[in-house]
Amino acid sequence: MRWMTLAAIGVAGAGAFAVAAAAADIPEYWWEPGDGAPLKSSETYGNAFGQLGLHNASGDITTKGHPFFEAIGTNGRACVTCHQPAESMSVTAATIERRWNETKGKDPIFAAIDGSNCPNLPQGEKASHSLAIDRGLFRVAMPWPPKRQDGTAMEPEFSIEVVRDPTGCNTHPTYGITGEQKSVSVYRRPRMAANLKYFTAPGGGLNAKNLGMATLRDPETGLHSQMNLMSDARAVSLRAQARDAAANHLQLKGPLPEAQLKQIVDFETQVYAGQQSDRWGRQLGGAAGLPEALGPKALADGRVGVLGDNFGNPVFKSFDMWRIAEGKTARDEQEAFRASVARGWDVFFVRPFWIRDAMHINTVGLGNPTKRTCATCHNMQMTGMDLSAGWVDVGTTNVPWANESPELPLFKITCKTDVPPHLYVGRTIYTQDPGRALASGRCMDVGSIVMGQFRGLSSRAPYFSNGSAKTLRELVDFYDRRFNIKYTEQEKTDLVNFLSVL
Amino acid sequence: MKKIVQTSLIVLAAGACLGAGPKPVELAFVACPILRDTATVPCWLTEYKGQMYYLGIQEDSAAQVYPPALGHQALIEGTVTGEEICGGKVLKPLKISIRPELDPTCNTLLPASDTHKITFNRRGPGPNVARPPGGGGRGPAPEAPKPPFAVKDVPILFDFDVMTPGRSGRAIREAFDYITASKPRKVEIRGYRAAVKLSDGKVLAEQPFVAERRAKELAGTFETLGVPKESIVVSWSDKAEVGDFNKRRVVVTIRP
Repeated sequence: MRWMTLAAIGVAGAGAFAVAAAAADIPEYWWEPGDGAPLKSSETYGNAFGQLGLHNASGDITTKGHPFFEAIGTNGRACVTCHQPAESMSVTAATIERRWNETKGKDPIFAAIDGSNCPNLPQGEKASHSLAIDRGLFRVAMPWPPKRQDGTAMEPEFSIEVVRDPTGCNTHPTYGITGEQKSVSVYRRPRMAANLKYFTAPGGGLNAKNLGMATLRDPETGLHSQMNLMSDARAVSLRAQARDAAANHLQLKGPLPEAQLKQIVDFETQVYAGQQSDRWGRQLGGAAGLPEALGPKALADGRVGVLGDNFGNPVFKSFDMWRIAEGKTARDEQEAFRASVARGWDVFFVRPFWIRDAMHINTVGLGNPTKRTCATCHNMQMTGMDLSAGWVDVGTTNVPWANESPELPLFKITCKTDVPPHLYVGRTIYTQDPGRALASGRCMDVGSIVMGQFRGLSSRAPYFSNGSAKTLRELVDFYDRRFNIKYTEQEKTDLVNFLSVL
Repeated sequence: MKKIVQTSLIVLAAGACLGAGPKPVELAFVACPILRDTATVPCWLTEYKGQMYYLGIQEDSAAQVYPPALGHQALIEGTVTGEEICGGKVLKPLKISIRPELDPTCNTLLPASDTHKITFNRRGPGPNVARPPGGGGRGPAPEAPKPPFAVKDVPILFDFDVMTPGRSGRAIREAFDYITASKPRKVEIRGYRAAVKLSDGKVLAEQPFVAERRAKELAGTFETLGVPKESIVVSWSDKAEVGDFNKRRVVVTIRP
């Protein structure tokens, strides 16, 4: 049974226009594995900014017996456990905490393997699951040394030491780097399992970021991967990702049967999610006179592979219809909000700032620093991801830019002298998560994380791969600090409002 | 035939006349870059022996010359021209190699002023003006090579001390297309290491391991692109050949 109640929760996004609204009654949703209810072709779910819309392009989904919605592994979880329809096919920290309180920690989302800070901790204690509950993070145990696509070990370009181990997992005799399992435990947010057509279409053979390196090939199809899946691009296809998740998150013993694998991928490639209506209950997109890019149906209809850092095909198309002519004032709160969103589009698309010391951004021929806008890097039309292989280091996990996070591990990376260093941090790097480097073994990739999409943001806080921004405002504040942008309060509010409607 | 000889003589004579003028000044030096903001786009400069040199404007990945990086010194190789842009003498041709190690002293960012104006920029600091409705910036794919196939050398150039081929995607693609079409029995990938004679008389050599790493890196790229591993033969020369940027290379020899 789908379980729903009403609860009063505070409005996220402090500083945004929406904060003017007091705490509102917002329905809570939780999709249990094995619920069995149909997932309709069109669903809506409330959030602090309005409603999220979910669109199944293939029509109503029968979830009974469907491997995405059933507990196909051994720990009682299903894919849906961490990819909740109401939460943009991700899951919020707030919901995880609620599940703890309501189930006294018995929900399978708290499985010891990755829903606790480390499997050896006392699983009945809330503190053992603090990273999931407080930040929406799940443990990802990456093999050390890193493995190639074919499973063979590679010689990494760097050594790794544990500087801080608040979860105890990286120094544990079983789970630690030098333990029996020889793994590096990093903690990451579940990504949004929707709108996937945009970044799972095959890519070009050479990494378009001019590194002159080849993108990995999907051994099943022989095609090159776009390398935009997961936080570290280690899965070359949705099939590879599903196998990885079934084994490591659902603890499925043995291979995922082909029929189930196909059903999972078929479902994932037809589901679209985006904010659908605003706080006033009015539609955001999907009708004449409204922004063309908004709403889940627009995502289903959008073209794949469109470069959007240009006025011919802007990343999120146009919001001009929401502007208020000079000299006029907004007639009501909603009109003022929409005007703020249109200004937020400007902040995102045309407001330049100095982008500096960002690996795989400044290194692609732009110079360091380069005076550009958010859309320079977030250039994939409809998603705001990178149309090229999208791992970049903007400092979300690397010192000195990462937000202080004493609850996360800290690693010291020492690069060998005969390899290309991380161009902007050097050969000694302190990081909370080496990111792509744990898959590639390359020093230059330390701290690089694949960009996440900008859709359904109002339903899936916290943000960044390590959940370090609790709200959209914190996300904006991070960039403001990181790149010394000096946004005005108005610009910050406008940008948050813009992000909230995507 | 006679006509060709006559033409050649005229060209040679013209060359001799030109040769009578001052010899172009070729420079090679390592220095910090300087970034100057302008009302349109930033421009890059560097200073050597009290003279400012212009290193280009901010463009994008389609630019002819990639700009340097604050936080790093750069090896500058270029020929001095009479032209001046953004307060610096233009070097043409120009090669910029970012030195890999950090140098925090390279941190000069000059504010925009009315003195220096850039008006020829194709793009400002914001989004591009327009793209074709198709959305892509790529042109049509080059025509596939046609038989007969002979032994072919494709040089892949590298920036100084850099082990990844960076901007040489086009050359890699050319080599790969030829391999795909000719199905060679052997693809030899030979890495080289170079040195450059600086304007102060010193010789700056690339790191000793560069040739090996370049060759192995490129072999990995070809393997991932689909070239059979058993057809690839990797070798390298650790001798630092003194010369210009063409010496910093890997040569891919395709033997059908």
